[in-house]
Amino acid sequence: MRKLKFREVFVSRDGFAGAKITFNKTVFCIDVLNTQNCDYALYTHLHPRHFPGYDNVDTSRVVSPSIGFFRVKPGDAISIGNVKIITVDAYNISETGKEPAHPKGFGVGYIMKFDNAIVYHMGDTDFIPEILNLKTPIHILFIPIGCENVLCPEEALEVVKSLRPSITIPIHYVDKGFLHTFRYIAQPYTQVVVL
Amino acid sequence: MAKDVLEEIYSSEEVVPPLMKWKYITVKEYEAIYRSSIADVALFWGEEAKKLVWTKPWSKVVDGQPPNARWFVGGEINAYYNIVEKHRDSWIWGKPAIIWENELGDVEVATYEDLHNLVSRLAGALKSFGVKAGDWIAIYASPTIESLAVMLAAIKIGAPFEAIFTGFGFYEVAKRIASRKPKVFVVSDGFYRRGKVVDTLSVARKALDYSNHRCTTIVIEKTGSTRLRENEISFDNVKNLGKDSEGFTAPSNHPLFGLHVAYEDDFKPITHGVGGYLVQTFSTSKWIGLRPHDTYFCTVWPGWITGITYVVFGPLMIGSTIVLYDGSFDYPSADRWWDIIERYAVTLFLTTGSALRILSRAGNQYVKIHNMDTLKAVLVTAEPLETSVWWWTYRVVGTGSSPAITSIPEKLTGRIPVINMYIQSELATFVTGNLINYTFTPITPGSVGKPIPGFSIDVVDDYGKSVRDLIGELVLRSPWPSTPIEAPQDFWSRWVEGFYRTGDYALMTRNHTVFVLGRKDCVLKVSGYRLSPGAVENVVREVLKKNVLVVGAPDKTRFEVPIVIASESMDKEIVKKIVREYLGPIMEPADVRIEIFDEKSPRGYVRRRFKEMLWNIAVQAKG
Repeated sequence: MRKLKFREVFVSRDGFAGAKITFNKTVFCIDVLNTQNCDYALYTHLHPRHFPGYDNVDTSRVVSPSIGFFRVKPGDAISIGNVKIITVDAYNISETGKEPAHPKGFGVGYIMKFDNAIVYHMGDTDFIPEILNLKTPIHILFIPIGCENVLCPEEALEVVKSLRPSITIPIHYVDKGFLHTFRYIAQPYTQVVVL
Repeated sequence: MAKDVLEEIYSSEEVVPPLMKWKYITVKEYEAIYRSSIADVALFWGEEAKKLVWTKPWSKVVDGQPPNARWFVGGEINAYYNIVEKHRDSWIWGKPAIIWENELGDVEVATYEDLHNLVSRLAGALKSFGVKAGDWIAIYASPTIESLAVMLAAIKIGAPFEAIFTGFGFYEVAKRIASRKPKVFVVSDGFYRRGKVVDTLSVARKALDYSNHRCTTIVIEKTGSTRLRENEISFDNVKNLGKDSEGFTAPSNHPLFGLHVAYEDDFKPITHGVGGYLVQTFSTSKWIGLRPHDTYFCTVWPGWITGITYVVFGPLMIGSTIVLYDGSFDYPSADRWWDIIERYAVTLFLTTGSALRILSRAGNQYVKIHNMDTLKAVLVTAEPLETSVWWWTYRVVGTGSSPAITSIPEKLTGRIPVINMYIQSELATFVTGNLINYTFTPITPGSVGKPIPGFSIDVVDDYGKSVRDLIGELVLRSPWPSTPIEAPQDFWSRWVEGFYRTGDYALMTRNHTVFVLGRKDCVLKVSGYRLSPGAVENVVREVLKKNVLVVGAPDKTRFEVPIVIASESMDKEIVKKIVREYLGPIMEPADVRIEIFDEKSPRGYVRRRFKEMLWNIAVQAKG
């Protein structure tokens, strides 16, 4: 698996929407299904492609909105060692009045602050107003682009234009067409890296 | 031979790639721009120089007669500020400056801010080793963030550097050490090639021992921990020895960097000065298409002029992101470069004709599995490019998967420009080529385009008279800002009647399109690398005590390959082994042939006769 080093952190993708972030030999996993090599498992929400099931996690080292030792909600900030983790909103906006796949409060995104690097995993979300209000600079952005209850490439571009991350790593897509569209339109505003 | 090359590369077609449909200019428009630029080159380059930040303005743009013309006389400039530090207060500061990937797939990213922090610490460290402005630094390392940072740190403190290509063996490295006498020598412990470790540290140590030069060696550890010797210090320990906050302000003709350039009898040092070089590099980098939001992948390493100018300097001056790939193009398979272009959304790709020739033979399937729609141009350097390879690159690499303007992907109509350009170490930058951001005229496949504004290019016959549609020699009729400030007699003697003879055969059409046809002399062009036949002859003489000749024979893949001509029987494998070990694998002869030659005749004359003979044999064999 390809690993990217940025300042003091190593990041890699793991699975459909998963990210592994290694800092000072501690491995933080976000939405990773096989957590065997993870020191801490963070879940944005508990849908199957993001969460391996209750029987497969050690809840004492889990951060999530609904299970585990660290139960978080948007706006929370916790520290694990020298790492500060800020929880932010991640949800869908219903355009038809129907209950969305990810209603507000169901899931979260994580902003992880290391010594000199800030990593943001957006979780499953649309382009929501809270993203525009983020004040922190983002160095590495894990962004869902697959259009299925998450951002579509054009919406993901708006996020990139708003946050201006140094590096953007697309996740949460099946059809590579979404990747190609996103990469083409977003590259002037960030450095897209396909891991 | 030039005639035979011309048959492969000549074309009278004119192609407007769909993406340039509304951007190209006519030949008449080009002529107006070009003629005005060369009517007064001092005026032209003086205006370009104003685009850099000068600490003290020059009193005269150009002074003296070529080849001793000096540029921006009286001017002072902080080179490092103009390359990196000027971006500090812009959005560029937080964007990646370098993305490095090795063969194993390890990736490291450094923003402009990160690069600056590392450079400042290295500059402090170099100073702590006693390096002062004017002292040389030598670098023998594969392209990494660290090795580029060392070059920039040297620039920051006014120390000229020489980057030595890692394909060279210890004898060539020793030659460069002996010539530059570096205060600090920076080496990598090794790098991965086709899955194996290439041990550069051992070669570097052997070279130091051979040259009998003593200096501090900084070791960049990339392949594992190494037991360091006396005078060797790990890069990781060096980083924290100090910090330099001020860039060096240099007079315009202060040495910036040097290279050893191939002449017939050996590789010899040339040095470029800071002012003229930076002016030429900044302008041509913009013109070839680099913009701050470009992600740029160049496969030519620093160690060759294209790699120095268009990796270390140009893209950073513009604020682009550089992809540095430290590995083989065909490992684990022949699609590695296409994969890199896809994964990092590369917008501008620069490579050599030889590489495209090899990749075209590998098959279209390696290209087709990748989406490279982000590419806006493929730039090609270093050697004549056959029309067949140009068309393959244009259609197969350059069409992309999505239609744009008038392109039709399924018909492989082509979409982006494929631009072959001409460069030479002595000239420092490209001097011909279709310029995406300036004078873009329709492309003639096989050509190196038209002269770039500011460079007075001509093709002349043996008497120095301009010729059109006939084979002659490529010359420059006016000096250029980066005329070397130090060069061997071979360079000075190329100035005849006020113009500079490049040593390359060429044909220029009446509408200024140039076709470069290979060396007129016996300097070798192997896979785009300019190599010295004399260097091989010298090593055979020194080690085997045999007097041999080396000439280039035509090769379908590498353009030329070195052939050793011996007048008595020699063990081919031993000759090859010695050349590989002493000079490096790129110099390894393809063959050793027994031919009687008159050892008393001038060596250059005999080489030429053999070169003609080998080219004639190849032409006859082709039928």
